Amino acid sequence: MSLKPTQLSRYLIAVASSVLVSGCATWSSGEVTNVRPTSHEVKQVLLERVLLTDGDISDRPYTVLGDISVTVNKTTLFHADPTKEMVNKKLKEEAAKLGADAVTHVRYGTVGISMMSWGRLDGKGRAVQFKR
Amino acid sequence: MAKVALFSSNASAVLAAFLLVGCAHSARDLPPDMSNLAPAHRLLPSDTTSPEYSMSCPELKAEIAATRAALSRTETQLQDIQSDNQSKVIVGLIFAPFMLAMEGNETMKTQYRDLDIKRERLLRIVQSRQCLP
Repeated sequence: MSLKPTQLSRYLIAVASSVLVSGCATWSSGEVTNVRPTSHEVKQVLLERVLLTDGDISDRPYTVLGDISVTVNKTTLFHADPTKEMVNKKLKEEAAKLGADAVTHVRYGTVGISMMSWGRLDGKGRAVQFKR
Repeated sequence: MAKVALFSSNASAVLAAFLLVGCAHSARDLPPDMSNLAPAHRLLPSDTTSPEYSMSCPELKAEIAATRAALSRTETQLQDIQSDNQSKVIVGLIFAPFMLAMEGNETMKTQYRDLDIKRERLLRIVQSRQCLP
């Protein structure tokens, strides 16, 4: 079976449209910098147990594990912009991988276009582990 | 030849959209790690010379609430402009001159950043004073 160029382009458009309209509304990435060496084994913690705060934690001593930086992007111009909740979730995911109890000094960028995305929002925070 | 001209006009329209809609601003860098200091001493040198440093605990709390409210308002306005501009981009892909109606939001983004810096400074001062919630 061979397709004519017009049929092929129709199929391609149909496939592309279904990808755009369905599932992949956002994609995200994260990185950890200034990772502090730890003597203990890293145990991943549950996502819902990771606390997020925009300030510092002064009532409990803690150890800094590293600085987290995450980015959430929307796939196309037609999808909804990424939100702070999405950034928070990604920050928690990265912190949980490090075995952190909390992320302090959480801060966000502002939504806008970037070279790689029609809508991008980033966030940063410091992963910390409470001293036991 | 006509197709090439059409492509280049579409490409120009997309480029114009990039320039006009407004770029994403990255989150500010994290402050230095002061976890080795006692909470009362976790202040930046600029904090002690700021006007907020002379405020009392109740004044600081009121200022934090006002700054957070202003941040929230600015954020909502930014989102409104952003989604409005995106609608104009979508329409502009069919009718390019529509993109000229897009609004800039750089001043508002700078305002948002300044408010965010102020909020963090207030939080540091409150924590160093150990103002009760």
